[in-house]
Amino acid sequence: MKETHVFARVARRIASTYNRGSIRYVIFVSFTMIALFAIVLTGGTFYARFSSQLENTLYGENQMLVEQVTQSLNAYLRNMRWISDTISYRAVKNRDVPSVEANESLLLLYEANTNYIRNIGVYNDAGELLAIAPPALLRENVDVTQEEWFTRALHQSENQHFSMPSVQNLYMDAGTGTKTQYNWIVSLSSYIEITQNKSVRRGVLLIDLRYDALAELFENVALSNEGYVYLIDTDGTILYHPHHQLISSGLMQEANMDLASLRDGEYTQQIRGEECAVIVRKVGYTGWSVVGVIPHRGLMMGGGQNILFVLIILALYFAIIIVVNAYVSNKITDPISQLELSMQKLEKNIAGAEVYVGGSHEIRHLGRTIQQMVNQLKKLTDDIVAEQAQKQKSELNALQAQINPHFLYNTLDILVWMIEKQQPEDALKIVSALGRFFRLSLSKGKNIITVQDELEHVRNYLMIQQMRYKNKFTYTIEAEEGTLELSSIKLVLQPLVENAIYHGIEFMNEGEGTIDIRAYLRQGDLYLSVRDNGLGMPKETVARLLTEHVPVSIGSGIGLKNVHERIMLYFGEGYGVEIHSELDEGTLILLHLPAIPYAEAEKYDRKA
Amino acid sequence: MIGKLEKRLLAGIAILIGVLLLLVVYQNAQETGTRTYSISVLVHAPSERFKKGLEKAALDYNVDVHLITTDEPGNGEQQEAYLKRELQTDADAIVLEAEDAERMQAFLSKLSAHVPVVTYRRTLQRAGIAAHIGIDDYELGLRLGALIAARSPLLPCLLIAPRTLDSSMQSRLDGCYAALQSAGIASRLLQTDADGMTQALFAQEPHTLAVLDENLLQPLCQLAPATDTILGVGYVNGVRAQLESGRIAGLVVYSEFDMGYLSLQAAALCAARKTPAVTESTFYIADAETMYDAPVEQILFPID
Repeated sequence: MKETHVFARVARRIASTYNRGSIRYVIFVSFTMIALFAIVLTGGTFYARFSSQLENTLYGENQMLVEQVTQSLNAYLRNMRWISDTISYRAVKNRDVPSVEANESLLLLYEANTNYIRNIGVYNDAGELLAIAPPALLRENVDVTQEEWFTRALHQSENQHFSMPSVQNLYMDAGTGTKTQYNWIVSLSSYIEITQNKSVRRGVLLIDLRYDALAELFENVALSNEGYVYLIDTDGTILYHPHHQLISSGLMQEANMDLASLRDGEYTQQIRGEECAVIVRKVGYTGWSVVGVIPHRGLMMGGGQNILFVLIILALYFAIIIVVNAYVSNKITDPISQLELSMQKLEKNIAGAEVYVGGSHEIRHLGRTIQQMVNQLKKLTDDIVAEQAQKQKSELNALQAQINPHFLYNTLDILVWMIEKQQPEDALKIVSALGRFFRLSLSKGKNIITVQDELEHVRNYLMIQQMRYKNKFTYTIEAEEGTLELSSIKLVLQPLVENAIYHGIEFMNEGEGTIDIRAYLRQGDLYLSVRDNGLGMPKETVARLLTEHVPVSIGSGIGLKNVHERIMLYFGEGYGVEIHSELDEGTLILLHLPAIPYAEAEKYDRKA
Repeated sequence: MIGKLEKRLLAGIAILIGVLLLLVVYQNAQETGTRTYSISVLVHAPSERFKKGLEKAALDYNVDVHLITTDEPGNGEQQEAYLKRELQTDADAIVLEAEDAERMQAFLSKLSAHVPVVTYRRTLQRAGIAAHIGIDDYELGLRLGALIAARSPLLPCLLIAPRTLDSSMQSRLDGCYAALQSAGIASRLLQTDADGMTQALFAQEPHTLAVLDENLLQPLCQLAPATDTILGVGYVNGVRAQLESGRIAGLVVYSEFDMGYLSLQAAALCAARKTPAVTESTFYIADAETMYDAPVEQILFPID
């Protein structure tokens, strides 16, 4: 139960990793798994198919070899029986034995078949040797009537009988009377009728066949993978075996006794601890069996070496496929990764990012489409920014256009009044100030002017307003050294001063109001301040002044927010307006600007 | 864009592919060429049967056999020189029947054990001897003694041995003495060789003549009185007729073919880094009755 749980958890984890993996990972893993499945399936199928075919082919070849040996043996035995019949009919039958003719015929037939025959002997039913070729003597004290070959021949007269291989021990050398040759033979004995002393009697023809001639049929037969062929009789006794000597000594075991009763066919046997295919073919007439033994490892592809070889080859294919998969998945997904990377850059900075365009047709198309979208987006953003700036400028210009007639009307009123009062010098001062005021207002259409001009502009304005408000307030204008040639946005002080007069000082008694204007540098930045000692403002109002357009009932109508936004628009968000105000104490308004020499301010003007 | 991990993975797979290719090449090389082992056999006067055994094993185990014998028995110096030469010619294994056990022991102890040495008959105490295929000479002597006791328990026994008793012959003699003593049979040792053997040596009272060296059997059959019972160990082709006729009453025999086969088989297995079994020979009694019965028949009359 616990194991199932663990397996389920592992399976979920693998599935989760697979599902959440990168496209490259998914492609790689999917291709690899499919390839592995295909390799195993194909390899397994082909292996099973070919191993079966190979086994059948090898088995067939080995069967054919055993068949050929069996046929050769059959032919050999047939030949031996034919020789036996020939001897019986041509050399012995109807001839008196022993006789010169019979001996000569026997010798002739022997010499014609010396490759197969060691001795030919003719015995009567009393076991007396009547004729022999080549000439030899029967060993003393040998009673052939006790020999199995003799009794079988006499008792089963219709058959020819083959004995087990043995060392020939019947005869001695005719010349020396001793035994010098010890040859392995297989005896072929058969019943014959002989004529001895003109009377017909029973006898036995014994042909000692050369064992080596029989062994030759088997000696050069090699079955698959150290397989071999051997010969057993009906009891399972080995007649020929390539390791006859070792088996005889007990140094090697053979399953011959188990196979004696088997019919023609193919069997599987454990021989010396190894599974072997055994092919049994019966030899006609004798009942002997030719047995082919092939270790199974020689027939099957399923041997350890072969399986290892197939596994190595499959592993090799798999490794190569992994490399190819890695390459292909990389090839497919690399453009997507590049595209994703450029999208990440785009998220951070839409202005400077280039969208990757590459890879396959679809990815290139996607990249190009995104690039077009980004370009359109950038264009739209720029348009909006430009539109906003234009809107602010138009607003400013509109406001300026609104105040100028009002301011001009009031100033002209003062001038009329001064002329009526016969104060031509004062009127002249106002006209001069008004002229300078409007000239600086225009500033040849520039939006960035020097601090000096801005101060001069506000000085002219204050001079006129001081005349108008009959010296209700005093003012000071100070500029630190080095500030006058710095840049300022045009018409940023005048609205502040105007607000100070209208909202702070207008209601004060004569000479009580003060307006102090300063230009100074702090920490590398330019500050322009307007301080009045007017009514001041509550904090809520201060808080609203930079976020809302607080309507002004009189004056230029240019709000602090407008000034604040204009500064930020020109110089960035780090700059703008700060307001410090206390009720009944007065108000200090600080304009925070970068300290930019006027000579370098051209680009900011173009921006506007 | 290949990451670090992927690079490592690919490098690992490349190495794996290389290893697999090497394995394939190695396996192909192993399958295409059946290894032929070069094995030097330095033995003392090998019999034809022993050589046949070598040949059979050479065929079965794909061995190129170098059979080397000394010019004269006991020539340890010459055998050592031959062994040095064979080791220099990169023999895969050695089958060694030491002519001079002490000398060979000293020589082999100086050798590194990279070439497996299979000792035949004479054991050598040396680390690195891969296997021993031997004849237990003491057991052989015991069997001879038992045969004497069974066939001729009443007569005194004349033990006939070569003039020089090497360790093998001494072991046979010791075994035989032990068996005769246990059976209460009196015995006497006669050390001679084929040339020095005369009828006079056997002219005294009837004896059981027990031959400890098969090379002395044939001359003994010619010279010994017909009344003496001859027994012995081993066989040579010339004595088979004597055995058949009963002139030799019995022999303790073993298969030299097997010894040759097993020696080379053991050496081939050692060369193939396999462990052969330590094998001692099996002894059989051969006489006129049993000489045509298996397995004595195959020992006395091997199928060529």
